[in-house]
Amino acid sequence: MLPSPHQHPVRLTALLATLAMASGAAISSDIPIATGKMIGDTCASCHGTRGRSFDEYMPSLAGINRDQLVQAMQDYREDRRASVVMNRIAKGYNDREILAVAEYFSRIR
Amino acid sequence: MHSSRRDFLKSLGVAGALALTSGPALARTRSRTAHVVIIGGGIGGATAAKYLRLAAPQMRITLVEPVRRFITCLRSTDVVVGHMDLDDITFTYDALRAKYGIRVIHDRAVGFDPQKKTVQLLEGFPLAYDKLVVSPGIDFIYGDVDGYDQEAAATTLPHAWKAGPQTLLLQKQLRAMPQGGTFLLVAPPNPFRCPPGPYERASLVAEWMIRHNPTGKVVILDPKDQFTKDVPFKKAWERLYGYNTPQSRIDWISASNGGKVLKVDAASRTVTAQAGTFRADVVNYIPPQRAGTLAFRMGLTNREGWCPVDRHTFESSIVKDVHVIGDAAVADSMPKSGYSANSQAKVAVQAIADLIEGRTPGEPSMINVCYSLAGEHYGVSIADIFKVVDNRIVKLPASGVSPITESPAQPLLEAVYQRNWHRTFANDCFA
Amino acid sequence: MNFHPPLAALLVAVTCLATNVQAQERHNAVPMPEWEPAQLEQALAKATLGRAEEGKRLHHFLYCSACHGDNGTSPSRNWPSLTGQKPDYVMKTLLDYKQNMRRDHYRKAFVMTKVSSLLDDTQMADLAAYYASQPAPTVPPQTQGKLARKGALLATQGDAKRGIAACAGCHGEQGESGVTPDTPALAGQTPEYFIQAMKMYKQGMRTSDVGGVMRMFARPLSDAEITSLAHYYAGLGSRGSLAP
Repeated sequence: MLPSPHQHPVRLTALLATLAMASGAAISSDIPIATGKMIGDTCASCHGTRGRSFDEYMPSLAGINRDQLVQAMQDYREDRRASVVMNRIAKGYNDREILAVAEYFSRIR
Repeated sequence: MHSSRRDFLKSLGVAGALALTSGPALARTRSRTAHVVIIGGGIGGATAAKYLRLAAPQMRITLVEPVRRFITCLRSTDVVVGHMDLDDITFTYDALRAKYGIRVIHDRAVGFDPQKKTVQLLEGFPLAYDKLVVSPGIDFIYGDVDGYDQEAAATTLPHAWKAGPQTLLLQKQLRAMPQGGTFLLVAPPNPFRCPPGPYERASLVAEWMIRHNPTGKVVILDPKDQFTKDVPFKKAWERLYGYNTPQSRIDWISASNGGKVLKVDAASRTVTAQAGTFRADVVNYIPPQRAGTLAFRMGLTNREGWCPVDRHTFESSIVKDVHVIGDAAVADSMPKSGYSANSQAKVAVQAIADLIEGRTPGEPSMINVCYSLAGEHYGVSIADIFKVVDNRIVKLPASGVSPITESPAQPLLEAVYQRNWHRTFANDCFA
Repeated sequence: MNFHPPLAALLVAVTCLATNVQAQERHNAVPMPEWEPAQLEQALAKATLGRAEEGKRLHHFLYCSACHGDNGTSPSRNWPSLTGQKPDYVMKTLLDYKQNMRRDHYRKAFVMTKVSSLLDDTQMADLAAYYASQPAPTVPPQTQGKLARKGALLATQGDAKRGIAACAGCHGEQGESGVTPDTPALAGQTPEYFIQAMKMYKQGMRTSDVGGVMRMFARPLSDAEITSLAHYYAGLGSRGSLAP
C-alpha cells in the first residue's frame, strides 16, 4: 500500500521543528504573542474578512466552536489530519496562539 | 481657505484641547478626529484602508490612487495565456467608498512635507495627515544592460510585470509567435515582486504551447541559481513538459550555466547572455526592481532602493508617522507578494490604531501563502508564518513548500485552491 | 494510480475538458445536465462491486480524508460525512460531479468536479464500498437538541395540509437510507451541509435529483423548517438520542 499523503519524509524535519518550537514556547510562556484578532486577520486573506466566507476549501471560521478549531489546528500541526496546505500553516503557531485565534473566531457572530 | 487646510487646522485645535482631558476620553476622541491618508491603492493600500475602518469606525481615512480601476499583477499571467480576461483581475474602489466610508481621491501625490505633515496632490488640495501610509509598489531599473531600456520595454520586449497594457502586449506577441518559435523569459535578480512569478509564467506559456504551438519552446535566462518553490516547480516541469529530457519545452539556464544577460538587441529580439546568444520570437524581459518612484520622491528609500521600516509597525525608519507597506518595504525574509502586502497592511493598521490611541503597538503576526500554477490544473504552493524578533522579520522554521507526493490529487487541489483563494483574497482587499 | 506518464496525460486531458473556471463561472446560468432513470441504473451497475480495502487507500491517497475525515466521518461543520451511505449513493454522487452536474456552496463545485475526474467507475465503486463499510456517523457536536425536536414531526409525518410528504418515507425511519439504494442516509449528517443541500434544491441550484423529486419536496419548506430538519437528522447519528 502506498503511504498516505501525510506520511512524507519532509514531515520528519517539520515535526522536529514543531517540537522544538512547542517546547520553547512551553518554557517561556512570557514570550509575547499577537492577539487573536491580529492572527485572525492573517487568516482572513484566505478565509474571508473576519472569517466570513465559504469558498469550498477555505471555509468560514466566524462563529466556529472554539474547541473544534483548536483541535483542528493541533491535528493539522501534528499531521494527525491530512491536508494540502493547513498542516504547513498550523506549524507556525504555538498552543497559546491557536487558543487566542480560536477564541477570536468563536466570538464572531 | 479650502477644506483640507481648514480640517488640518481644526485637528490641531482639537489636539490642543485634548491635552486637558482625561485618559479614556482622550483615547476615544483621538481616533475619532485622526486623519489617516493612504497613498497607493494596490493590494497593500486597499487592505490598509479597509482594515483601518474595521479597527476605527470613526476615523477619517483618505485613499489617494491615480487609477479608477486597479488591475492586479496577481493572476495576470492567466490573462497572457487566455485563462482569464483583464476584467477578472480588475477591481474598483466602489466598496471601499460605499461600504467602508473611505474617501477615495483619484489623484497623484506630487509633494510631501513631513514637518507640516501634509501631502500635495497634482490636482486636488493638499491633505493634512496624522499618520500616512505609503504603499508605492515597485518600479524598474533600466539601463544596466546594453540595449535594454524603457522604450524597448514599452514596445518590443514587454516585462508584463505591472498588469494592464503590458499584459496585453505580451499576450499579443505570444499569439503571433511563429510555430516552433522561442519564448525567451529573462528573470530578474533578487529581490523582486512575486518571486515565483517568472517560473509560473514559463510554465503556463509552455502549457499554452502544447495546445497552440506544439513545436515552440520556452527558455529562461536567470541571474540566479535558485528560485522559490524550485523543487516542486521542476518536478512539475518533468511531469508536464518533459523537463530534463531532450524534448523539454522549458529550458532553464541558471546563473552558473551562464544565465546572466550581457546585452540586448531589441530590434532583432536577440539577447546575449554569458551562455551565448539567443534569437527569440518573444522576449519577456523582466528587469531588476526597486521601490516605486513615489518612495524615492518622498525620501523613504535606502541606498539599495527599498524602504527601511520598523518591523513591528512598518513605520519608516527615515520619516516619522509614515508607514511603508508592500513590495517597497524592507521586510527581510518576507517575499514581495500580494499576500505579504495584505498581511503587512494589517500589522501597520494595528500599529496605527494603537499609536493614535497612545498605546504600545501590539505584537505583529504575518503570513504568506502563495499558490502558483505550474499548469492550469497543477498548483504548487508555499506557506510561511512570520514573526518579528529583534526588529527582524523571521520565517518560522516549519511550514514551507508543497511536498512532492505521488498523488495526482495534491497538485490538482492546489490549483483549485489557487483559484478559490484569488476570489477570497481580492474580497479581503477590495470588498 | 500515481504520476506515470498516462496520468500526466490525464491531467492534460482534464485541462482540456474543463476549459477554464472563470468562463465556467460566467456560464453558471446554463442549465446543468440531468439524469435519465435508465441511464443512471446502467451507470450504477458496478456500484456494489467495489473493494473496501482499495477504497480506503484511495480515500487517503487522493486527499478525500482532508475534508471528509480520517474514515469518511467529517471532522468539521464544513463538509459532509460519507460513512453510513449505501454504495449506490456515493457512486452516483461521484458520477454527478464527474459529469459536471453539481454545484456546491451556491456556485460551481470546483473541487469535487476536478477530483472526481481522476476516478474511473471501478475506483468510484471502491470508494463507495469503503464508506459503506465504515460505522455510520455519530451525532455532530454542533447539533442542537431543541431544533432537532422541532424537526421530528415534519420528518416523520410530513404536512398533509401543504402536501409535504414525510422525509422518513424515503430516507428511512431512522434516516438510515431507504427505498432505493441511491437514496442517501441522513442520520448524523453535518447539519450545515444538510441545510446547504436543501436550500440548493429549493432554489433549483442542485439538479442531480432524478426527476426533480427533491427540488419538489424542498420548494415549500421554509428556511426555519430546513434548519430543524437538519438538526433532527444530525441528532439521529449513532449513539444519538433525542431525549433532552
